[in-house]
Amino acid sequence: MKRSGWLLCAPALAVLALAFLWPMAILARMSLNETADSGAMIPKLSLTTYAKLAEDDFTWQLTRDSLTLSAFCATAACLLAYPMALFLFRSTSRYRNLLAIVAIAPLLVSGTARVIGWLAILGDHGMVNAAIQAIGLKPVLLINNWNGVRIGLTESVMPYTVLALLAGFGRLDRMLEEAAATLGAGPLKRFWRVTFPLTLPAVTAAWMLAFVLSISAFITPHLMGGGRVFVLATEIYDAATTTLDWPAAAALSVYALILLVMLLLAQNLLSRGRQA
Amino acid sequence: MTHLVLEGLSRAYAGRPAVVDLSLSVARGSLVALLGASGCGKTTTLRMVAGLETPDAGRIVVDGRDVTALVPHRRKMGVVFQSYALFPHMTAASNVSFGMEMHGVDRTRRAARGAEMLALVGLAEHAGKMPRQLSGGQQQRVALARALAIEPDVLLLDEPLSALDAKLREELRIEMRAIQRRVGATTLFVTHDQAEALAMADLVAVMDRGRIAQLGSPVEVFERPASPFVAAFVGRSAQFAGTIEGQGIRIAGSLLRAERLPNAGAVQVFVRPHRIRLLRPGETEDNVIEGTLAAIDYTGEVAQLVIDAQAGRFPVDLATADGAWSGMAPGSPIRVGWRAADTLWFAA
Repeated sequence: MKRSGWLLCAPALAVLALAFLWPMAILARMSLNETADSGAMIPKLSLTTYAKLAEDDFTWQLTRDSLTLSAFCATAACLLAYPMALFLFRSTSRYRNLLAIVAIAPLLVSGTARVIGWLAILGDHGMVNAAIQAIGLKPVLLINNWNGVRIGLTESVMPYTVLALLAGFGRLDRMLEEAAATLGAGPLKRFWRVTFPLTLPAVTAAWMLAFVLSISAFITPHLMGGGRVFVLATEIYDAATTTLDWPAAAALSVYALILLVMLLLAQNLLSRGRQA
Repeated sequence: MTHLVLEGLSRAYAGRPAVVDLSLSVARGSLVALLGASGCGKTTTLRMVAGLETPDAGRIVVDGRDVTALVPHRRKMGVVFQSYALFPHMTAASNVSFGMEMHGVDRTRRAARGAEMLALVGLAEHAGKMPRQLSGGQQQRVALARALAIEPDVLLLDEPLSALDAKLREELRIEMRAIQRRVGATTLFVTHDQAEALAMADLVAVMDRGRIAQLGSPVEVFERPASPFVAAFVGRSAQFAGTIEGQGIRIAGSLLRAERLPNAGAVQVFVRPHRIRLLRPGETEDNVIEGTLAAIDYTGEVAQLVIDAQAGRFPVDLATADGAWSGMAPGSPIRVGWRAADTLWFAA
């Protein structure tokens, strides 16, 4: 990078260093400490905390559950957001901008407020269960369990997937679909052979974004899970604030970070392989 | 024999008419050019034939079959788009075989015909390349091969050469015309470039505000324009305003001779610049105008002169072969003339 480039990036780099790298370094350092049986933190340079985590089956269960939950929410959000983003991208309506704002409006509301809204809708006496009971079916448990977390998390990452998809649809050209039509392709063939392949890079980017946001989400799993759903983020929170086992919290954080970096690298390699 | 018929086609956008009651017959195997400025409705007409736009009124008939209500993928029209619209995620060969695949042609025949089409446009060695690895001219050829591969009922070309540079455009228009003749495809060709239309078409339909202003052979459209619009749009002209006086047309400073003049009235006069010649001292012609040379541009084969006369400023094209142009300088007096038969006039 040229000197002017560094200069332009300097403010952002300074903030990053101060607010991200420095705390991460402290966190990494802390993860090398040990916890005494009394719960006190013993300053050390050892991997004992990591070894304990690795031995604990619960860590692996957390990893599995976090990855599955995030994959589910990312996939569901992409499936739900794709038609909407495609419609918004193609729309020539003068309400297009308004619709786009409506699509991402949930971002304007705090996560906590949204979760409370979900509790009212999905609760045992909420709208959904009232409707289900009204047609004579047994109520379904939709909060304080994995169902609630899946629904809430999918909804909370969806606006981001809409934005990511819209940004990635740049290569899509109406003319290509028209060309496919004149060559004899019906609507379904047009979609699968032309539209979808051209939007695939956008879909992977949106999926990745939703995945990262899901795996690092804390509020939704915490509140919608009602304390019965355990993922990496909630466990880190518990270790840091409830059991006050700071080295464990730090080690889990570092572990989650490494997990994410590895996933991003894998995605990068995959997409590069596709381009070649 | 008539192959494609457009009957009273009309289309308006938000109340603004784009195509108005347009009718046109295209003979089998012939190439008809829709020539006009942007916004004249030529592309809308082509898109209606392709099925990409729905006409408000009128019918489109191919081989005696009314296709007006058919969606584009049931029409079998081979379209070459202005931007080519090649599928960026497919090789040249896949682009060409896409249409055949959609029409249920089996794999072996697809491969054979795909190769044949690419060979036809001279791209046999580039079959495996992606569109972005091809030059503009090559992409254009792939687009043509793709459109021809489905053995279309009608070939529709939407400004297919406009994105190319001048020299390549001339090469490709000769090549495209040869290919079109060889496969015998009935073709509708949209262009704003009059040289392209005149050079390639069997018939030229000059369009003006959604209507066909004149339909005729290239020679007719250029030499015998049907209206002042066509005369002004196709080719350049010296233009004068005049009135009938006796056996001639009175313009400022001269009395012009023309053929088949009416007895009275105001007229608009057009003379093609290459029909006007330089008159040496003592030489005369049916029509003579004296003026001063305002500008002279040497363009190779011809020198383009601009002459100021009493009747106004007008262009004259002088063949450079005889060297007569070389002694001239702006500001010097000049005498030019043309035959009575070359005076095109329209009652104003």
